[in-house]
Amino acid sequence: MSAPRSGPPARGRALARAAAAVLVALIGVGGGPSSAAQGGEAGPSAAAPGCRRVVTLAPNVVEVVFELGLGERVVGVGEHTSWPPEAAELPRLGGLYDPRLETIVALDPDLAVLLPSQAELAGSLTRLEIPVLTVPHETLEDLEVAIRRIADRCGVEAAGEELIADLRSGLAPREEPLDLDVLVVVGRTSGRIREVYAAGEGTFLGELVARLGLTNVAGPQPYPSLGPESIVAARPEVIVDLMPQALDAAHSAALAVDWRQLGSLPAVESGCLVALGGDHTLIPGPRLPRLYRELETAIDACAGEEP
Amino acid sequence: MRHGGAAGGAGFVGRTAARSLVGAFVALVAVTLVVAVVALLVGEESVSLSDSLVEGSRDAVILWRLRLPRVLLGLLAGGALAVSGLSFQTVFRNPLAEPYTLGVASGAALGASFVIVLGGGFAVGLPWISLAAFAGALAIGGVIVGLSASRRGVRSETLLLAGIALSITCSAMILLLQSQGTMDQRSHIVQWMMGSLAVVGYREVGWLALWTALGSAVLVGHRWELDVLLTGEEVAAGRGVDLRRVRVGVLAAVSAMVGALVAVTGPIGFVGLIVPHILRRLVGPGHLVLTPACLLGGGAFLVFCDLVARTLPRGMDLPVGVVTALVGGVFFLWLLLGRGGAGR
Amino acid sequence: MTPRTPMTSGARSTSGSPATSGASVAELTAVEWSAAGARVLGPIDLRVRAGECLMVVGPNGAGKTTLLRLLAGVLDPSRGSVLWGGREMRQLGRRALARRIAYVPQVRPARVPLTVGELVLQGRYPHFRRFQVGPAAEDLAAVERALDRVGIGRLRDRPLDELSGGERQAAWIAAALAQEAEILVLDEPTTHLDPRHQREVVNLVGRLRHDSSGTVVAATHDLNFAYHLADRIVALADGRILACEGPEEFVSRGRATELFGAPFEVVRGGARPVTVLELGS
Repeated sequence: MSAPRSGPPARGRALARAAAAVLVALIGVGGGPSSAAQGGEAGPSAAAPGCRRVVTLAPNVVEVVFELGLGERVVGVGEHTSWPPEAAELPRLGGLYDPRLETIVALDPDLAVLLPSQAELAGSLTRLEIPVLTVPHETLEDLEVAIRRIADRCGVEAAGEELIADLRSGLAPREEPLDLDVLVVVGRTSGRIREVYAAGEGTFLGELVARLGLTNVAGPQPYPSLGPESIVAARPEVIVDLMPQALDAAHSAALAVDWRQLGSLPAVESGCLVALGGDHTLIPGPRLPRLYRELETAIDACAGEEP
Repeated sequence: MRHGGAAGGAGFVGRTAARSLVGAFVALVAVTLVVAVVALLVGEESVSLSDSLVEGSRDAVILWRLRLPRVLLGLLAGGALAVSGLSFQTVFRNPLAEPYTLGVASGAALGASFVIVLGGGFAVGLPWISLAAFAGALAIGGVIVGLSASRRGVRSETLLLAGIALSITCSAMILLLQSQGTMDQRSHIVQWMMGSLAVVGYREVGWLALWTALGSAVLVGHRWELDVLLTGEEVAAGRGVDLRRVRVGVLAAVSAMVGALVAVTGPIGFVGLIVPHILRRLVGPGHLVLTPACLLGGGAFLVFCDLVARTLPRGMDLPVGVVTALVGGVFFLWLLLGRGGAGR
Repeated sequence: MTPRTPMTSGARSTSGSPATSGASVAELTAVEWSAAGARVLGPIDLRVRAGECLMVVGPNGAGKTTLLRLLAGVLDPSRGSVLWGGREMRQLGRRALARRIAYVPQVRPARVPLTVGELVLQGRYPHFRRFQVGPAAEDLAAVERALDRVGIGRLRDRPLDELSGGERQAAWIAAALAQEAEILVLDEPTTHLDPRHQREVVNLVGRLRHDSSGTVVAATHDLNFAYHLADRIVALADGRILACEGPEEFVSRGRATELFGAPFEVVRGGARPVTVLELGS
């Protein structure tokens, strides 16, 4: 799979070192702080900054790396990566918070792109002398920062700026605001409406609906959990269900039926119940313009129907 | 032999019982060694032992910096959980007591959740998550120890209920934190609470070895008192056992030990509940014998479950806590209903 | 330890009861015990004399068990003082106290995962040294003596949970004997036993008394058991001592009726009197 970083054979020494390490650990003096464990952008002195063998567990990072034309350098991806299709063929490295360390080591990467929440993994990889690059991912600005950091690190600054420009034009605010109250649902129980996770104002989805001129009824919390009562009280005029899998007509219809239980919501009365499915809907990556267009089209259509 | 070696230790074991006790320990050590060696040789990636002796090679890193520390961590964590569960079952005279009964794990989870939601990297070389989890565990442990130390004499049932109440309160606060967090943070909290033995290098191993040694030493030091507690608190008090002191000592030792291990591995369940019951059937209820048996057996059991968890076919990845529950639950039920039908 | 360990000294004392002759081994002065602000027991003054058999009788809720628990040092008095051999428990320490008083409570765990031998060995706990790994020779010898005296040597390796009620009571008493204390405190030792086992336990307590002139304090609902063995009977009602007198006085003054509010018929003829509860209205 990979060329091991081979050194001169020194069997005895390696074994002795392992034994010594165990001994030191058991005596309990190994607990002191170590500068090698500091998380951050890159391990200190960690191997020359490289970008030839890239691993990441975050699907949006995979998309960015491929979009930057660096797809061939990716050697391993997260468990649930499905886009682009070439990436889905690559070795799987586990979930964001339960990575397969052995597989990562076996791939001999020279760059691991992580999210800020993966601090523990960052510490582990740094200890393993695998360089780490941390990129944010919550907002649209985060996405630009991530693109820039990866592009800089991998020496494709021009491609990075180009991708950012594309994103900006693809996500330009709508000139004629739609001016409706919207609820963007990112997860909920199907069937009975009991608990609904909505996208709040500060999230990338919140920013998308804001750029369409819509008012987000979910408020400032990132992903609040709303009960039926607070949804009824918020009186959304549009409800958007975002699903990570592709939807057929029957499924979309079923999702719409669920909302009718809540009775006299404006969105239910006007029939402005939008369901968008696909693996691009919940990932803050380069495919956001597509989601933005789909949202705009769907909401524009049902807003127009209003008497 | 079921009763061999109990309370009295060697002095009261008849000749055959002594022999079967030695047999049981030889078997336990053998099983532990076999499980540990297999766990070292088998994993996500296949490695060659001879390549692993090349310094800096891929196999050396996987074997000596990932797998060996993981196996050692499993041995220590499993042993610490089992002896903690054992002493709680005795002190509370409740077969359902386990290391997390008093809310130590919930306190740790609350600390970890705080860091997950508020964000944080490293301090003094340890992840903030671990430090906060340890702090949370110690806070809850402190409350419980404080209660048990009160002069007014708290009944052990009251302590148990207080622990459960604290546990519930912590869980509610975790839910509150989750509701404030992003989707990522929520799944991070859930993932953390499932527990994991993944580790790089020996720092965590050393940390846990220290606490396990300290905690076990305190528990072994209380072996007679724990033995006498098998006959109930009233009798024990009549025999001259200072219940308050024993409770404070055992609760403090277990809280510190479990707090230290939960900070590193997250709350891995069921080991502390089931292993003491299984081994009690093997070597009897005396703590002088049962405590070391639990250290060995708990370690072997956890390493075995971790081995199963990480070698299941792709797409069936299970957290180790699920495997301990599945394997332990089924095995224990078999013991209880099948072989143990005639036993106690 | 003190050379005075009569309960298990094995040395036969002169026959007959040394009852009222000895100095007091335990002394309760103005002792009260309250729970949640309500006084359960006391104030009580009571001296337990060396070598006597003191029986505590009284209706349910009179405070018999509380009195025994205070005496055994399992409870600390809310007020007043309990002296053992002239010293307060706090000065004495719990283990030292357990070398003076052995207590067999009535309520015990339903299941105890020990054999008889293991249970009896636990009686040696107050004699163990801090860093003792296993029982010492003297502990094993004490266990043998205790098993012999109760006569259950053959049950040594039997799990406690498999024994009959009477055998189990004998095992608990043997464990208390292994403690080699001066005073044996028994809480309702015959309760829940059938007549044959009641008789065995009564005879056992009588034999222990007779063999070694040890001090026994027992609470019981079985008045005839009390008459049979007691040097003095403590009549307890509503947490106070109504009377403390010999069995003859207790019977002749009609204390049973006074205490329980029920009619008793007195039957005489044996060495000790017997009272029989009259049934029917």
